Amino acid sequence: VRGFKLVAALAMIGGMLLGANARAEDTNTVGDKACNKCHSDVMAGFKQTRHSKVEFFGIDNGGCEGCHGPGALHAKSKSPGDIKNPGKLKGEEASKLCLGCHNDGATQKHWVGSEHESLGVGCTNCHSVHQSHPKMLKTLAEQDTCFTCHKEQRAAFMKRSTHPLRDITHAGNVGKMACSSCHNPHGSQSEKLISANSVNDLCYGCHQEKKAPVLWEHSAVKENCLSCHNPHGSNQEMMLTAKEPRLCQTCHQQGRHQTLAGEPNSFFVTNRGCSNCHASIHGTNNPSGLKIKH
Amino acid sequence: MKSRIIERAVLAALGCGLALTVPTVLAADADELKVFGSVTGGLQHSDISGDEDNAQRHGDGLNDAVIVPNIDIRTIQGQGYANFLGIDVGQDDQFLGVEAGLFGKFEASLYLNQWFRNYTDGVFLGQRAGKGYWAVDDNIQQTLAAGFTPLGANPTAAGQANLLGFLADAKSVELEQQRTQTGAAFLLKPLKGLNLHAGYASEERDGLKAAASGSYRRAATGANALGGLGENFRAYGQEFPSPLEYRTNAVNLGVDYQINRFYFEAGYVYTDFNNEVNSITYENPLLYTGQNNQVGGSTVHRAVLAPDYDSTALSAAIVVSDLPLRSRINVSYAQDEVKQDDAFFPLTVNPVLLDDAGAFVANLPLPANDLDGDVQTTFINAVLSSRPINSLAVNLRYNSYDYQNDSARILWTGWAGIGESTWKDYDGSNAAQQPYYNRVPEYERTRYGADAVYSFGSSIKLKGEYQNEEYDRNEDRYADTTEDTFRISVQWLVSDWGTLRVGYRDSQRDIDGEYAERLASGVQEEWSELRMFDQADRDREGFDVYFGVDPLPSLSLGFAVAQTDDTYDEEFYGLHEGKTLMAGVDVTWAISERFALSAYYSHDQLETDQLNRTKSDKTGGGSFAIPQNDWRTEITDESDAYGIEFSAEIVPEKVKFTLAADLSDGTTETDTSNPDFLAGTTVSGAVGYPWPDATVESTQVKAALEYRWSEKLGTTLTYLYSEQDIDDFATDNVVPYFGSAPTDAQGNSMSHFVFMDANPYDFDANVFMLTLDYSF
Repeated sequence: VRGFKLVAALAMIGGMLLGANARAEDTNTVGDKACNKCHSDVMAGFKQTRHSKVEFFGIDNGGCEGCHGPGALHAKSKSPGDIKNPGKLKGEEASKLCLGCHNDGATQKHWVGSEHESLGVGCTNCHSVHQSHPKMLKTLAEQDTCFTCHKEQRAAFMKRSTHPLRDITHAGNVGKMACSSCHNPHGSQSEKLISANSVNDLCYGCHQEKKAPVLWEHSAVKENCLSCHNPHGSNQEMMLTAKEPRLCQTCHQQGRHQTLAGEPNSFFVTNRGCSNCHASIHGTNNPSGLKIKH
Repeated sequence: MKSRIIERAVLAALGCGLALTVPTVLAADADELKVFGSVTGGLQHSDISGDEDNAQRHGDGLNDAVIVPNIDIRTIQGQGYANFLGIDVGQDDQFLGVEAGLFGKFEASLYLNQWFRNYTDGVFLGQRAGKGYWAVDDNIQQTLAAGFTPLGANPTAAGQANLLGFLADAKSVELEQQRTQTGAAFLLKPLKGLNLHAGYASEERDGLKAAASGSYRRAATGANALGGLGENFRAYGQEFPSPLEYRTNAVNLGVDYQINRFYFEAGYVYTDFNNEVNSITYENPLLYTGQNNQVGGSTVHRAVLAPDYDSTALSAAIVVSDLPLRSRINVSYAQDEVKQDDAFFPLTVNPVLLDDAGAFVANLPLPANDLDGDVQTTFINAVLSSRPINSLAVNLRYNSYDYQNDSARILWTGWAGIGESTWKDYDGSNAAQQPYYNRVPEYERTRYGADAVYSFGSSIKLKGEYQNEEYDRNEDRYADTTEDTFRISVQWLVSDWGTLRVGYRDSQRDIDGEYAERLASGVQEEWSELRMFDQADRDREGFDVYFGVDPLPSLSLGFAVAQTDDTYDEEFYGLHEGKTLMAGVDVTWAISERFALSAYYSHDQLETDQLNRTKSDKTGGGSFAIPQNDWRTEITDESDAYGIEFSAEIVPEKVKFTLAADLSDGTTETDTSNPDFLAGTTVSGAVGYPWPDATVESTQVKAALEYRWSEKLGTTLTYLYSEQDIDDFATDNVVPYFGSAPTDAQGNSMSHFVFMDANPYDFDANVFMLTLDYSF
């Protein structure tokens, strides 16, 4: 028994020494040139990104090993198992790695506790430092990154009326706007990750003319644009959630105008519907405009 | 406008050149100048049939042109850098930007961003006689007036023929708008963790959009042999080009500072919005004389456009991390004050319109010179996040948004109504003519809640959420509401090849009490005809599922569905139900290293059910005695989108081919019926009118063949096909003169309206692009 214990002790000590040796090897870096020998294709794209310039941001351990860790063991064994691959890590683990440098309060202020963070979505689910796409996204078009999970939103982009989210003449079909024009995937102070204090405040960012108080208000307007509009797109004009006059009738039970049951050729149904007359539907400052007609 | 674009492009280019010199000057060391980037340019030919404007609404720059889709030049020398980015340079929606600075020290940037939005052209009888004035020739007015007056009667056949003749010769008006945004920003980093930033942004929005303005006339019972209805309600009006000349200027200042576990930021934004055209005046082509047969009596109308305003916004935020229980608190505060004091216009633009007392309305004194509009919004958001144990994350949330409206509440005693053709006296002379106030809506929204995520190992997360939302509204917004929402979801990461996420939510919103009984200061009981779904009792249920799986390293499948059911059980009229269903599935298959295939399908559906009370198509007796009926309407609005993309590297690193096709099919079904006959209350046999389905079909195909001359230089031949077919009775019915002999059951709702006929119609476009790209 004593002999067995001795052998076991020696084996343990030997194992610890070997382990210590292995750990010692793990801390050895090899530099980007060594990586480039085998991964020149990846390096070509990486050189186009800001991450290849991190030394200018005061980060000493930049380059490949800044994220992948020391590469000596991998360089020797060529085994994928001997190098850290953030892209294969679970979202939260990958995020820890990224947040080591990207700890800037301004951009990550709302990340903790956000919908994406709480579900374990990580930086590498959307970003790839090897790509030269805008914002280092995994896809050329931002919406394609979002569609990776939000598949149910695709139909909106080709509806009759939408925001300019899609333009087939551009590479990636990108339009003048993208999901992040309204939503902040890194978290926000409001619902649905919108990057404003309220839905209306967000809309006023581009539709400035709707912001000011006016004499004759359509009171629902100043509370929520979404009562009538679907910003993701609609089969109606103006991104309306329904065709007038039915849209207006969700609230207004009007006994004064005839035939709002609505023959299709009725004036009340044709063209803009109710807005044929009540054109200043967002309110007006005209003293004679209390019926919001002008 | 074009010259301005060129001018700004030149300015931006100069700015770029200037910025490119910055790193050279500032970089004291002699590090090598590194330049890299890419440039793409080429030729484009377009062949569009159908509504060319609608085609260009969906894809800017669809014409024959030299195109520069991309200029991306980046330079680094030592610590200094300068970048220039150009997108669609020279096109109506171009972007030009330049940024330069020293890493870790400062950055300065300039940009020019232009957005172009095209609309279908329209026809208009008049011509622009000033910034905000559309005039119609006296000759046209005189000729048409002979056939169209009085407006409460049918026009003569000769009058209609004259109008059609004039419209046939009317000029086409280009409707479009362009945003031109310019801005500058400066960021200074004087200390580690400290950022000071300042910026200026300016936007000019110019163009013309079709706007409408209508009015109506009532005639006595049975008048004009229009079917014997108790009331003849004859709408008339016109569409006209409404100018956009918005100017927005904003300056911002900010600071943020992070030290250890503390983060602080503060910001200030001042915005000045100026509408260069505060009103649009337009002459009625159907009238030459108005009230009392006087020129200027009611022949001119005025629409007041968006008023000028300025706003001052302040914001601050603080984040403290590493609190006990691994907690972090994040508090944001923001306040924005908007002031609007545009002088009121006179009650009418018609100089000889008289009120009941025989005074000229245009000269009547107004009860106030302006609204003295003042809205202050105050926003607070606080989140306490904790991770007491490794497997548990908890968030406590508070959020409030206070819309405080301090605008004036003004007492009015009359207004110029019916197309500024008559005076409406509300001077208190009888019970039905009580003076009235303008509404000054206010509300405060408060939310609080908590959510917790518990992790079972590294694969399963269980999340529970609760939120209470309260709306406290003033009497001009009627009802206060309280809503409780519970949500639970579970996520399962199946090794590294699959993710399943399922969520369920339940919300209940209740009115606190009842709708406000009456306006505090008003007398017209309009609210009895209002049932506002956004303030009504509501039960909301919903679920969502996401499933993603990679059965093979080269194959990914994904599926997502979300459904929400809203019911408004307490509502007798108005919206009763609203259901949304959205679903999507996609597949990505890397067939080999050289071939890839992907496809998707997405479905979006909205179903609503509403009950309305409106006048029927049955005749009644006496003035204002048209029976009312209850009408039920079920709307189903569906959209399906399909897409497929195939890419092939035909010759490795030399020849690549991609083909993508996207199709969309949208349908709106509107079914109106009259199932709710109530003896003594409604009329049996009143006809409900189902509307024809409205459909929109879009097809987009893109094929590209790329040849790489070298790793850096390539040529791409691209073919685009874009098509949209719209079948919508509401717009298909539109013709420049919508009127003629009444044909609907009432005979009095058709009336006459002079439209611009500026709705989008079908198009198909074939586009060929040959581009050369070079990267360096």
